[in-house]
Amino acid sequence: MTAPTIAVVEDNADNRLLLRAILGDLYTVAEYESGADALVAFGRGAPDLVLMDISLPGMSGVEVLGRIRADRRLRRLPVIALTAHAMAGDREAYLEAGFDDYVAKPIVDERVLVGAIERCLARTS
Amino acid sequence: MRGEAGGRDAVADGREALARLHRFGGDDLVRAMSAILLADVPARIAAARAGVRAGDCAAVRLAAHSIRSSCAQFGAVAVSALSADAERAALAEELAVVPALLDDVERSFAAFRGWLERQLPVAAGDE
Repeated sequence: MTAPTIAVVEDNADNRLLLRAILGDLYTVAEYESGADALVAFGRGAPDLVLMDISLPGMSGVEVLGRIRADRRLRRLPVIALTAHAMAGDREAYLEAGFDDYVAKPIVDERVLVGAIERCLARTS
Repeated sequence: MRGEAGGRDAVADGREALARLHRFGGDDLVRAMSAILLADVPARIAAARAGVRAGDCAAVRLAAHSIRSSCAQFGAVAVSALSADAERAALAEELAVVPALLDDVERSFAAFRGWLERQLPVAAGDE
């Protein structure tokens, strides 16, 4: 059974490296530096889940999410927001925007990240 | 709590962050991420300064946010907090205050850089 493919959309190279280190033994990880690059790739083949940085160059993570949800082929794709904007009420705002979950940065406990991924994957399997 | 790089709280934050990164991916991850941080933050500061000169609030905000995010992962609490100030100023379109904030970010990062470089594991073959 092949591991699920997790798309990481994150412009910071060190954050991409960190996520690959945490997730690489559990999943197949595909990395994208921008929302535009990710959307082009998703058009060819969708991952099983997306980890989406909110602050991206060009299109923001919220805008990319909007494109995903507007695409009939992608709209059920689980997308988890990754963000340093961890203020009170942010989680609810991201869920209202259409994200399936959100994980705060910096990542201090990998179990929080993996738990969020596994819950989202379970809901869509 | 914010601490100046080199202060006891800042060192504790940094050590805890490096221990965590080591747990995630060993010496290799710590070295690789540190190399990226040490190259990337000065470039982001330069990008923020260019954004100020161009009157581009979005560019300043993105650069400051990146610095904040990367430094937080390393426990560089003071640098991260100062970057957050610059990010908020750019969001409020108050670019006039940003250069002084970036000077503070640069000084704080220089202190953190000195500490980080002393902590980095030696690569095999470099001993």
